[in-house]
Amino acid sequence: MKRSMIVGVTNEDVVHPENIKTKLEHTRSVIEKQLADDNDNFTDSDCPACQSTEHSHAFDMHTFHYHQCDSCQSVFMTPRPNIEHLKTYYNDSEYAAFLKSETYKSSMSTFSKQLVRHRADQIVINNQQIENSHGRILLYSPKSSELKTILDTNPKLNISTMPAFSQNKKDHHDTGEFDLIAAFDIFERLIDPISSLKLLFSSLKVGGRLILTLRSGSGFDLLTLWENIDLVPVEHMNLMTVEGISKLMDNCNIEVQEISTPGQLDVQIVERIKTDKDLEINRFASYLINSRDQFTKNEFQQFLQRGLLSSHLYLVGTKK
Amino acid sequence: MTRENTLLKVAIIGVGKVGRTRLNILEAHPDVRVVALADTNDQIASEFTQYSCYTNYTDLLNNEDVDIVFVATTNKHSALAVIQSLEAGKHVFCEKPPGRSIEDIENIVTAERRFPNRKLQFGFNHRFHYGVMEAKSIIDSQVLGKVLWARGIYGKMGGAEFETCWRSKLDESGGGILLDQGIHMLDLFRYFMGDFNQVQSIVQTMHWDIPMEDNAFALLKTQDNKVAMLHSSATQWKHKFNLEVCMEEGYLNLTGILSSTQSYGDETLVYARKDYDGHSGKPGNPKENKIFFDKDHSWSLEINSFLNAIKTDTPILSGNSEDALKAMQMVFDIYNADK
Repeated sequence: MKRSMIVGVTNEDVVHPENIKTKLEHTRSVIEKQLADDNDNFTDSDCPACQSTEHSHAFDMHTFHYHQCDSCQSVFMTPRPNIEHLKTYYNDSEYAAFLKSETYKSSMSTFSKQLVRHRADQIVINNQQIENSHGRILLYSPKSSELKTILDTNPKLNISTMPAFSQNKKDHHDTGEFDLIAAFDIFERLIDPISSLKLLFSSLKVGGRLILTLRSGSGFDLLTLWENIDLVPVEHMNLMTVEGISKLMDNCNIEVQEISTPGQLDVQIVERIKTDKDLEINRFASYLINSRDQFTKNEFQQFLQRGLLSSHLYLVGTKK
Repeated sequence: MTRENTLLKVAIIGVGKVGRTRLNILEAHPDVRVVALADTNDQIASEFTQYSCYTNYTDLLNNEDVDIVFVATTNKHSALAVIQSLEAGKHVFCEKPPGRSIEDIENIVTAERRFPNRKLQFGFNHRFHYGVMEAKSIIDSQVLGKVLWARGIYGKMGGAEFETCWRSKLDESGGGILLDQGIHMLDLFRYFMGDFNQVQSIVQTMHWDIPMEDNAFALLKTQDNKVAMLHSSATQWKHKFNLEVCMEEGYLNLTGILSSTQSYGDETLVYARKDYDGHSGKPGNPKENKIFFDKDHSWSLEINSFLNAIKTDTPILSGNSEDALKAMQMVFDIYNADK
């Protein structure tokens, strides 16, 4: 098994710029409240990773309830919104309009430029490793058109996209035609990740590759801060652990080639929230944050990456 | 004719360290059955009672009905063992280097042409290390552009018995550290960059009391101006494997290589894009992607590749006789360039 990590420091303010924070949080809170007011139409969920029915209450976040799976330790929202709620959240809210605004895009441009380039590289390299690949790539619910734009310049690739929340059959590609499917930062947002994974599985050729990234339930920030973590509930419904997503892949007949957690922000997030909320956290984390220098914190973040203990998860699997 | 679903019968000629490594893998392989061994050491008969054992490999070839022969002898005997095995109608896998000289491998190639239905592969197992395979994907995908240059260091310390072992007897080995270990790095240069047609070198015996080189330094250039720099050493007191490849848009560094002794360190591959403006770090210090590989399945993957070519009657794609000949030509071009 291989593991990847990123060497170098990314500052959290590049990923979560301060100048848009207030507007982002305000518009999001409005739509979150709107959804929460309709929670009679939410549906219960078992563990979205290992499907265990054994789970118990973990914490509440903005009136949304999170449980932890007794088996794989994944953390997940239950009950959870339905597809109409998500369409409103992602398409028809002031929050959605702000995410599409030039203000938001320009604030995120430095980070998104790096990220999109990195993901394009990951797709190209993985495609190279697929036996007899014809370069047929499916981007599952890409956040923007930038990734497709970069990949479209590669003459060896043929790029398609599929929206995550479409119930329209014509949007589905279930013919086993794709050499590679990439689903970046989407599986934590899905109401039913198992059904989505099965759909992607049917779209993939045997021997084809699936690339996923998602916020994990194995991260130092979540496990240290727990109910004080600043999750965005509707966008973080499924926080699968390394163990949980491994079971999910196994259950869906996907052989895992790589699981890595190349996240760079855990320590910074813990430090920010601890400071902002004047929190009491466990003795070790508190000592690290309060008494050690930036070098040690950076080294500790590298350790978290290498030990699969960071909150950003990267997975590559092959259809059996 | 394909031979799917039949157990392939295997013999091993040369049951030293490398031969035993091959034996361990073959014993566990579901598609083969080891039936016979040959080694000049007559003790193997008492050690491996489950197999037919011979002290003369020609007796093995005359008496045993095997499909495949693995040749893991010293360099002095490998060429003849390969040729006689081909002549006996066997598929052959031969450890590197393919003999002691260019003439040895040329004789092998001539024999191979006489038996086009036999498969012949050479043991360049570094191609099957996960780090090398990942690097090959990056290079071949051209995600970082075309290769400009490469810089490889492969060094080991020799060891307490180094001056007296067979590798340090010119008649047995045919060359020093370059032929023994540096050949792997040369093969990787060629695997990543293509054929080289210009060579400059310094080949010296610096420390050990041996009749061949213990250090070789070489500069090689391809027809299309890619340059590779090699240092192959038997005085690297901390074992070292390091291969850097610079491309137009970025670079990759392979550091360490997993081995049975773990002495070359963790196998890691770092790659990054060049970053003029420091967006991903500081100028000249880009954010790097680092990949760790915690398993070495290179020997098994290499054998699987060989067996698959036999079962499907398809050409040997990696480590074929052309690869072996070209690698040997590089070794001897480096020797000759210092004369």
